[in-house]
Amino acid sequence: MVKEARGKYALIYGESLVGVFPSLKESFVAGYSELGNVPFLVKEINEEDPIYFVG
Amino acid sequence: MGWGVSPIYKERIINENAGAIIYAELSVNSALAMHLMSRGLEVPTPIPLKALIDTGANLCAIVPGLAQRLNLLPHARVAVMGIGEKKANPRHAYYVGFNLFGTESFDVYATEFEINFGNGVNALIGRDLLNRLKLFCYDGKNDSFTLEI
Repeated sequence: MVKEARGKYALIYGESLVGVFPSLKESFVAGYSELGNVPFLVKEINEEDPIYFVG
Repeated sequence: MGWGVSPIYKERIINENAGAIIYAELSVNSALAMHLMSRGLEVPTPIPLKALIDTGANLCAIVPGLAQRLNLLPHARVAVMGIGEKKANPRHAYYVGFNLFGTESFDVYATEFEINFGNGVNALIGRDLLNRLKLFCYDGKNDSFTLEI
């Protein structure tokens, strides 16, 4: 899946993949629309998770 | 501001310890605002931000507690390394709106991070947001900076 979907965003709720979307915003629009304001996960699809530098 | 002219924000740096600070607002992201409005629910009032432009950060950050004031839920868990930390630590990230110039809003992920600069800064604007702007110019000789969308 990573190869075909690299750079897209996975919308995940619990253990389930709800869908794959081309942008962060579209993932959230779909998430709120389909699931409501609940703690779903939106994650960019990549081989490795990035490390973020802050501060 | 006329048609086709980008908003420009020019600010004087008060002192060298303050850095490039912009007064902005933190809001719920636009997708959540639409979701709440479509259901007749109240959209939380944006929170004033004193945000430091941090070109060394590749992710925006807000102090703990701000997201909760907007009733936001975490939607990601990201590995974050702060200055002086030897390894990345998992932290929550919230999909928020950064309102700049009073007119433009940018939806981004922001992580919670303790910002202890002692000057009231409660947010960091990282390169994830800066990459969506046209220009950031730091004019040290004249103690000012310019942001252009």
